[in-house]
Amino acid sequence: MARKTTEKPRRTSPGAAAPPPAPLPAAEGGIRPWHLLLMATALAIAVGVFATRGTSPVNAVAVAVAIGSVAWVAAAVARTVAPLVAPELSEQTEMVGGRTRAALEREKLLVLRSIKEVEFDRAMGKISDADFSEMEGRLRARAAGLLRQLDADRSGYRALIERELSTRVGRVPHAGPPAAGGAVAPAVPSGTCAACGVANEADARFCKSCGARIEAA
Amino acid sequence: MASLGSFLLMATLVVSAYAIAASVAGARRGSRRLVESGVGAFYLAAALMTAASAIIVHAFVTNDYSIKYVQHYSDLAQPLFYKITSYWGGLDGSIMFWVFLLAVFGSLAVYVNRDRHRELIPYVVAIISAVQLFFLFMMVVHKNPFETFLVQAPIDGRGLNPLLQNIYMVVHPPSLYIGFVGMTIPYAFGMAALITGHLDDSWLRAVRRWTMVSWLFLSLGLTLGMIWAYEELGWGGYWGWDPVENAGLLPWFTASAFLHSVIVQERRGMLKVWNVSLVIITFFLTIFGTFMTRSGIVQSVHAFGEDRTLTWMFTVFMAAILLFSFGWVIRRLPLLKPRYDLDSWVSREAAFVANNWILLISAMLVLFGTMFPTLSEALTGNRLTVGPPFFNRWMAPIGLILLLLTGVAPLLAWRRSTLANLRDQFLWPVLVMAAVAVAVAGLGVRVWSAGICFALCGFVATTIMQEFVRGARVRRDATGTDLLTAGIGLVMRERRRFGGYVVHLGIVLMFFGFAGEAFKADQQMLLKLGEEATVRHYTVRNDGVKTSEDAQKQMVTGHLAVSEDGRSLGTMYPARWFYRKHEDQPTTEVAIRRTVAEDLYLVMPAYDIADQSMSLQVVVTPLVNWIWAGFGLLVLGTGLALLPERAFAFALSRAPAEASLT
Repeated sequence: MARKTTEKPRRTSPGAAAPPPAPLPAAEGGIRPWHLLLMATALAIAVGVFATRGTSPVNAVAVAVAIGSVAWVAAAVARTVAPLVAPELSEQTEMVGGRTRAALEREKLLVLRSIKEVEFDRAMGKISDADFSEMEGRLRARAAGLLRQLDADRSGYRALIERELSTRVGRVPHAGPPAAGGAVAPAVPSGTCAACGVANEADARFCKSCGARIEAA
Repeated sequence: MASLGSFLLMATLVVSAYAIAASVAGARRGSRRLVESGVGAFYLAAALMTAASAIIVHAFVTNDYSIKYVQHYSDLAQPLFYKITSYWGGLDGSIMFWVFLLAVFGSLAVYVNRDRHRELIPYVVAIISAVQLFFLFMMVVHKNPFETFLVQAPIDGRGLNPLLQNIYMVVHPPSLYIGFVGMTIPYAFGMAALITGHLDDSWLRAVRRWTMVSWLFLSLGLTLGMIWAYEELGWGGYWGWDPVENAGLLPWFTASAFLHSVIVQERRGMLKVWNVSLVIITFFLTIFGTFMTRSGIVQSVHAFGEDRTLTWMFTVFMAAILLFSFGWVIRRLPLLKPRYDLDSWVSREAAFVANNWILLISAMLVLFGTMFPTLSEALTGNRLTVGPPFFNRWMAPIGLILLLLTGVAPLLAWRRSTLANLRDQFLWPVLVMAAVAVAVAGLGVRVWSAGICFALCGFVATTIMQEFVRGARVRRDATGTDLLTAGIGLVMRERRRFGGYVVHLGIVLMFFGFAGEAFKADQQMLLKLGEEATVRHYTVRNDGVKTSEDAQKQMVTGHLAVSEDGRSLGTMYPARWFYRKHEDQPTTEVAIRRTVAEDLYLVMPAYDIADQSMSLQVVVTPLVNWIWAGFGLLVLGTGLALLPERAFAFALSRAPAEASLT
């Protein structure tokens, strides 16, 4: 919520603060339409408040609120209409084995956390050793299965993220470091192991398959 | 101004309808443009409602009595602050305030989740808009707060009900509304998950915080209502099982149940149908509660009055909610299969299930008791009422079972606990419970419910302390820090769990306070000038009745010299205030002397200025302040659970292995 403005809480509300969804042509220097709107509103409020001087402060607040809500309405109208005239965006995430990758990731986290919890519960003396080894074994097997399933996934999820990033940040997608001599190298996703070629997380320091060190991009 | 306000309401109606159409069509055709436009329209509705709210507040502040609503709930002499809060003082305005809050809250929720849960957003927008649409429709066709006088506008207003002119009543309705309105958001996400079929846990994560915040506001609203009843209504109690109080309590029960069962789904993938149903029921109960207080079908001290049209509108809407929601639940049943089954009945998930059932039964009982007069009238033609004794008889044991479960559940492990574990875990709590029980019996307490309550309070408090100390020890051994750092690290790593424990401690304190009700003294007496009376160890003496006045009201104040066991405690001033324009409804101003152990509570129901005599009600309410203190802990605990991830990172840095698994 805390954007660059702090004057009037009303105007930092979602409608006004939401950046336009469609990549509107950004003016030079990175000034976006909503920056202008914000400045115009601040100016209008300043003028309005100045005009009410000499009367009770209630009037000044009323004027400020009125102008603020008008600006918000204007921003929201723009937010409603702009997408209708913008080019169509479409993207679909593919499913892995009938479930989205996000769901698999989530389940992985859940299982890993369950393992920690079972360990903690045993340390607290809540479960017996026999139960512990049985539960932990089951959970570990499950985690391993999930990790394999995630690795097997080649649904282009990362490419989708890159594309999304580029539309938001406004830069050309570019993952790997420029190859020596600036030649056009096929984009190798960062985190790919040089030894075995397995795709790791972008910030991984060691390969999850063979354990070899991954050079930082 | 009034016509601009009406126009804005109409515009919001249209915009909300467009938001529904655009987002649903966009989602079904896979068109991002339409969806984005629908989301924009949703924000627009919030902006329009804000503008409309600004107009009505402006009308109150500038004394625009051509608007009927303003004329009815405000007058020239009213302080500025109460003029602003008169916005939600009456029926029409409160509905509008409701829509305003829903629009703003909904926009916030959609804005926060717009990327993380993109697949759900169109339906979330559509569902929240549909709820808005209903209330807007009701306002536009039936209860327009901007309605004006056709001929000549009066010069002065009628003024806000004096009972509502105090700080608790200013904060109480908005916090209750925020609690109510907030429950729409989990419902919208739940339904969106059902409709899209994205029934993994992601919708739960999106709504967890919203539910917690709404629950907190609901608790705040209920507690403020209790304080208001205690300090303003002047009958010596804080909870009278009034239908309107119950209306707030019903969703509180089911929301509490949801907050617990959500954990089971997150950890164990169980109770999916149950969770979706709880969200639906909670939402339904918030609408039902609004319906009860707005339509006048139940009689209450603070219902708004009877209204047939409203009853019909609400009935149709509620039927539609139930059909639509449970229709989708049934349709998606195959996707809602649990991932695991219950391993054993001696496990934490089983305790959670039991807790859920009891909370739901509480809700059903309160609902039954509240609706009984209306139901009996419909069936037999006679209005039979069930009073507080009915509720107290049933709710006391249920509350005690719930308190017991609060202590038992944390001691059980997930999945399954063995006998040896149970012995080890339960040893100390049970010992403390027994010690408290013996001490209470030894002190001569002969009220079984209060005695059991005290013992259980000891049990639960020990459980929580034991969890904390043992957990800190385990963490100290694992990380090699001192016990204090380990304790902070433990709490911060599992903020939700330990925040929950702090909330439980708060509940323990509240129950401790509730048990004090059993030892209450309440006496009515007539005191002539200079006469004395003694209640328990307090003695009060009538030093006269005096009158005074200010711009808004005339005040009649009793002067009472109070002493405790012969030691003087000074003078106390119970009073009656007569607001102009509302002179037939004098307010009772209670005089309260608070201590940790008990309150001395003086009310002056009647007086005679001529001979300076007064009738006096003297109430001694033991332990009542513990309830408010317990609520403070509840807020603290909820805040802890809501804390963002990065706080207190220093205590976490010593445990690298767990860093990623918060």
